[in-house]
Amino acid sequence: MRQLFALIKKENYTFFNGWSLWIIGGSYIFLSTFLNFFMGGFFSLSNAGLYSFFSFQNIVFIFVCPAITMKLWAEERKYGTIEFLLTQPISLSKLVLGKFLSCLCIIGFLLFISFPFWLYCTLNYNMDNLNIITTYFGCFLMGCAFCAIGCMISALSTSSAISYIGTLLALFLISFADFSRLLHLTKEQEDIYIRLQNSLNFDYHYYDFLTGQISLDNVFYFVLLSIVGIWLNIRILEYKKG
Amino acid sequence: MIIVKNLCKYYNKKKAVDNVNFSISRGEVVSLLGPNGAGKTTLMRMITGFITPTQGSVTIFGTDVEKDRIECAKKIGYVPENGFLYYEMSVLDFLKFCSDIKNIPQAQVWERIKYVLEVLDLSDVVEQKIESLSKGYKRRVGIASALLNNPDILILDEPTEGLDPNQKVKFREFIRSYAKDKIVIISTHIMEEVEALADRVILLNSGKLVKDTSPEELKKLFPEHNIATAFYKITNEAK
Repeated sequence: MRQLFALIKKENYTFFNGWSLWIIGGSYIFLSTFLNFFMGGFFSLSNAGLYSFFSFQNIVFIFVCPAITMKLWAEERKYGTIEFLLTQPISLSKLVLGKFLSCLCIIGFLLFISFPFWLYCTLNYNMDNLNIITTYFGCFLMGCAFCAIGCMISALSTSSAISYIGTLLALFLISFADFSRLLHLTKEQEDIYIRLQNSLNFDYHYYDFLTGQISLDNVFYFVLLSIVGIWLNIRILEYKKG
Repeated sequence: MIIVKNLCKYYNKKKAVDNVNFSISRGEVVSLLGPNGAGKTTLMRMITGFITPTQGSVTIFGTDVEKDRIECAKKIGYVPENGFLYYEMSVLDFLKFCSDIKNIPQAQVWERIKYVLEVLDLSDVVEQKIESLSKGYKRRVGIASALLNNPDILILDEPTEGLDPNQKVKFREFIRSYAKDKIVIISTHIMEEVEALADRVILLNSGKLVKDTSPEELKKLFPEHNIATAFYKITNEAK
């Protein structure tokens, strides 16, 4: 446990004591606000669940999560500090878990800085707070899955830039890719394809949270995706050991 | 005791370490010598469990590194050649982080940190960020982190690089006293250091172990009676 906390502390120390906090935090606030007011129609919607804000969080996270995870393993490998970590009496799974949990602290922090906006709305309008809490939970789970994928991709490269672009691309593909038109499917095949695509798609699982529902399959989906990401991260590091 | 048995490492088809065998007992200071690309770093990385051997095994006090890396890592202090420090941290924060990662009992953490700061003369820079330190200080911070858990085996890759002459002398004295009941492996290109420190020289060339002897014996092999000539002649003879 102590080793895990030390790792989380070290990663967050780097994040909160550098420019990353201002750049990533600032980008998150800018993107969320811009999309909420200019594209989400904050003032025109019946917005009891802050739908205009949360409906774009998936897009915001697609851009922000890779920035959180891009340097996690890529920089350890680039600067040789991975040699230090992997020769210490700590298991690979603990190392990966520690890094992943440090990302979750940052996701939690980002969601926390949107809290004043919710507070303002709650004090001035009649809000459906239960719906909002549910959506926050959905956002956090989505952040977990995105970060797990980001950590995994970061372990593949020594370049933070490549890691960022790779994660962005992977998240974008899993969120929005639709190949049904390219595959020339019959109506029946298309139905099967769409069901398959939806079961793998981030957005499909996230949108249920937007309506205030916590269904087990959606929670399970994000948790499973996080576990798979962490597991693949461990395997990649083991493979890189030779 | 370290037992290295039939150790091989291939990078694609290139053999970096080729069927190396040796054992090292407590109280020995062993110097790994060899030209660039001889396989010294790869060998040390396999001993620490950082990379997996293609063939063979490394046993540390009866434990196979591949089977129980964590148990072996508890007994090893390793300082790689290229900096492995987190530059954004202060010296103290880094040493505290290392103590936590090495799982040093809480009651001993301050005692150990104080000890390594004293031994390596780091007390003046304890609050300073590592990035602002000179090369020699950075090297000493690296060695300090390796000494935190009082390891039975100390593996150092080019340890005196960047140290001033005074520090070099102090460091050598420390290593001599430390090695009384421990194992110290040093990879270096400085022959003067080999003579001053090593009880034994393991000479590698193109991944193969070409000589395993004492510095005195190595000198006697050639009429010039010095290690540098012996090193030059042996490694070129093998070509």
